[in-house]
Amino acid sequence: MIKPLIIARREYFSLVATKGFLIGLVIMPVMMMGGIVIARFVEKQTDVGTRTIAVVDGTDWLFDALKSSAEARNAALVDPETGKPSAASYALTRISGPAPDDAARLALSDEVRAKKYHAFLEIPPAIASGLQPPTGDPSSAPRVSISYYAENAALSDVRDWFERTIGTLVTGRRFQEAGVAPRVVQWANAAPPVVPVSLLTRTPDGSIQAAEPVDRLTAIFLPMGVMMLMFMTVFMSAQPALETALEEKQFRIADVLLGTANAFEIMLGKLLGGVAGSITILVVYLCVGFLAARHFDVVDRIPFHILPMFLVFQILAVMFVSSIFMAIGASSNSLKEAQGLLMPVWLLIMVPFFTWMNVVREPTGSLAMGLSFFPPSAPMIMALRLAAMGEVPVWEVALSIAIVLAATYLCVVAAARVFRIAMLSQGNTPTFAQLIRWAVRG
Amino acid sequence: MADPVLRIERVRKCFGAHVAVDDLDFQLAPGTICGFIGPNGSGKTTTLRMVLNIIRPDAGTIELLGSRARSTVLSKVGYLPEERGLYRKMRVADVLRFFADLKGVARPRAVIDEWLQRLDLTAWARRKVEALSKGMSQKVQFIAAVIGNPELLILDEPFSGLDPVNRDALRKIVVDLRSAGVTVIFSTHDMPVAEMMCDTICMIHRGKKVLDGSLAEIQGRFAEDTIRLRADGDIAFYRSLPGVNEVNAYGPYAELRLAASADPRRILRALADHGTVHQFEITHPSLHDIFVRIAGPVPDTGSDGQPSAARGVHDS
Repeated sequence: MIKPLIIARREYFSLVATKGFLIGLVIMPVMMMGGIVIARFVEKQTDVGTRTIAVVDGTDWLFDALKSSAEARNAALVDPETGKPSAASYALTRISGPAPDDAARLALSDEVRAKKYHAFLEIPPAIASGLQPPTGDPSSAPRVSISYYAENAALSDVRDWFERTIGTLVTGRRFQEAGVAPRVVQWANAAPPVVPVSLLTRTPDGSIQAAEPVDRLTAIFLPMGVMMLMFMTVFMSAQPALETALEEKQFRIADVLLGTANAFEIMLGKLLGGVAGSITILVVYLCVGFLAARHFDVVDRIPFHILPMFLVFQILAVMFVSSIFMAIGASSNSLKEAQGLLMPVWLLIMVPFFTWMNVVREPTGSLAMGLSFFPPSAPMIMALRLAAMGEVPVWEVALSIAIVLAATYLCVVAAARVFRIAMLSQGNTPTFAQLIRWAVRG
Repeated sequence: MADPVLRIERVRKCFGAHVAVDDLDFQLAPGTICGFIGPNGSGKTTTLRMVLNIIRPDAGTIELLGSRARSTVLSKVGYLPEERGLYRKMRVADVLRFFADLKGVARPRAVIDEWLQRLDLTAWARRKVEALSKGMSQKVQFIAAVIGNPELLILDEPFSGLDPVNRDALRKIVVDLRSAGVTVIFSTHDMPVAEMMCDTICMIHRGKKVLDGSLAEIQGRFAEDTIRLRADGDIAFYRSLPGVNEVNAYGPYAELRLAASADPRRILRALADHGTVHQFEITHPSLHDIFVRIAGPVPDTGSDGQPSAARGVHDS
């Protein structure tokens, strides 16, 4: 067996035959998707108590209408089977008396602070005068606002509910005053939807395959999932490569290795081991994903057709990123030092994360195309585009592969030079400029 | 002389402004054990790394096992670095298998089992390297160096961290390997071991070769300016003896370094007048003493630029 393959075999088993690998397989998706899951979980854990809101109503009708709406809302929140509400109910209390001044507002504020009320709402009398159609230009009519006072007023769900409900009540009342039937307004406002559907294709037997509706969430999150999958496979094989290089330097294994094989053979072997490890990770995630998709009956949404190209870009990405990680591992005396040197590299690797939404929305746009030819971002951006578009023009795929391939080759050669020099050097961690000098001059 | 196993000619290596190896010439005869000595930072490791093709010389040529393309013959060279050099998370048998495969060993399992048995490590074959003591790691590392049945074996402090039993066991193996035709370069700071085991000694200092030859040849270049003795007396008394420049006391034994004008007979008389003399030997300096004279902290230099301590060298 030739030396790179012997080294690759050792690297592969040192990567996959560990508890850390198995834990990483579980932890990585949790880290990547955990935010979404936790947000949804927290959303369900909302307070289901009663929120009492004081209302100072300057009109003679709005409070009653709001109270009816709140009661209807509260009733709708109750699960008929369990009898339990799914969210907090609203109880409205009218504050009678003359129009409030600042002293009255302060007193109510103190009652909110004392938790007697969740918030208080001040509806000025001018709301009533705004129910009549203006005589002049409607846009020049003065706008009257309602004030919602609370400790966290800007982000309050209660305020949102008041805004929606008062909006509906006031506009309904305005139509009524103008002699327009609400059902006519509802009909007039009902715009025809624009439904997203896929492009039509011709099947191998010559018939035309009808377009299929495209789910908006799937259109956004499927490409993101594909990009995340590539990131996980790359990261999970590149990080151990860095740690192994660091170990080989710290424990003088590099001397023995470099006395047996040359730096390029060692680097190549390590990269092949990393690639094999990343393919193992991909296979595991695909199998789990497939089983989950079958369970939820969404197998048809898995874009199997992009798998070959995904694999090509994944292999290139693993080699590109791992070679840089290895060079940095070899240049460092500790993991902490390596993390410092990795910062600029991370910025480049994370470019797809900063731009993915734009790329998914405009997969043929200039940003998406430009990033497809920028080696550090190209593999993940191409994965995004393939998942978003289904097909990317062949020339773009070919050019992207050619550019990343050339960059990967140069990167591996440069990293091997750094690896050879850095592995044997002791003492201070080299500066970034020094690393570049080693990479260029050897 | 048969073709040398290693031929180094006018080799130079600089790191920036620092000259690590300066115009080094060296030849190593097959089937010998050569002690490669020198103080820390003298250029030993750099030289060995150049021999192993890990780093390239700036100038000069290195011929290894008859080939200038050293990478083609590396599978015939075994290398034991000083301390460590093993993957901690791997099992002993697996790490040896890895190095055996890299060296292209046929029937690696049998060879590994044989070596493990020879060094009393069979019970540790399935244990991880990190679970081994320092001495055991050293023995595993030694196996990794010799597993490829090398023609040239490069050992860097092979006995450090070993207890006397294991030290003797490894020493015996090294001698056996030499008897089987293996050439050994052996870098060490342990001068008595070098004196005992090495056929030839090469010392480099500040990148230059300062000694090369058999121990007898090297010692012959120095005057018989040393008295080894075991007698009644203490350091202060020895220092008061006429013509004694320096005293090194090792428990009951002492080494007295004499000035060129000193008369050993006067010194013996003084010792006998003072008490019993058990041993009195006028001799050449030991390798340790030679090493210290050359590499010791002597700031002034002679007209030839050599350390003044080396000026005791005779023309032979």
